[in-house]
Amino acid sequence: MPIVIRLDRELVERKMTLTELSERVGITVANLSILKTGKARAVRLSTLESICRELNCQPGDIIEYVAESEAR
Amino acid sequence: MTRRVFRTGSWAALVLGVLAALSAVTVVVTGALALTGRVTYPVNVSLGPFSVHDRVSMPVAVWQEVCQKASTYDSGEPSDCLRLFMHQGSENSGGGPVHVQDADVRPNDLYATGAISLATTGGWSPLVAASVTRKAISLMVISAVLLLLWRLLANSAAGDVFSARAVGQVRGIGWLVILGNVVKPVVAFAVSFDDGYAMPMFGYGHPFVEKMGEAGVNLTQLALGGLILLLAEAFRHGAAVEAERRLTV
Repeated sequence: MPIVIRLDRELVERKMTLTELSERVGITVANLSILKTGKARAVRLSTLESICRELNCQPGDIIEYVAESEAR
Repeated sequence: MTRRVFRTGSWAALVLGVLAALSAVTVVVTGALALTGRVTYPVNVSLGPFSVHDRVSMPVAVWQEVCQKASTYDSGEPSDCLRLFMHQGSENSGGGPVHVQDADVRPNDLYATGAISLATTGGWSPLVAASVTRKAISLMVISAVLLLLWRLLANSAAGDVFSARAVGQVRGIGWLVILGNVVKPVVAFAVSFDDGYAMPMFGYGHPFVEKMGEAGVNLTQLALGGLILLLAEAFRHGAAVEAERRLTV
């Protein structure tokens, strides 16, 4: 899929674990893991809002569009 | 609350499904024993608190015209019509010995369907074989439908309402209803041409009794099967939506 989730990069930059983020945003680790591994089919705006609030970032820092030709 | 209803329904379906399966086994065993000459119909066996009652019957239809006028003086005489009268009010007769159809609704002819209960002598009989097969198929289909319903409701009670498994179960119920409706008449059709029995009737004034074929396909049951298959499609759509919802973060 050309949409890539960069949550792991943002977490590494902030030296934060997925469990810690999960506690802060109130979303289960299982669901954040689905998002992090790119298995999610959709992301709620409220989820994006809480993640951006806790990581102090923009939605574009987490979600990125990579054209398939570039990805190859 | 909903889950409790699902759980109760699933238990009821399980109990009824097992009972139907046991009945099917009983019918097959009794049929096999009757066809090999070990027992004769009607079967009444008591085993402690349990008892088995099984019988063979033949579907028949009765037809006779209804008399429009008749006299009670002729009641001992044979008649080619049925002396059945309808009078308005609570009076049984119009007053005299001669009855005339004088109500605002008049009986024209009688057509009734039912079954002749048969006693067998034991041993092979195509009629008994067909009857046992039909009964066993019906009970097996009912049992399979109820057991699928049990699994469907049990999964729903566990919160797994829309899933690929549920779609398969609803589809299974739909196909069973359709196939049960088709297979039963096929068996009846296979033996209906020549079941080896003639049924002459004589005497004067009896209603005309004829053997009724069971080779027809029940359209209501077919439509019900089709509706259940449509429901399975709705479940398939629900399962797709549920899968999407589960992967929405």
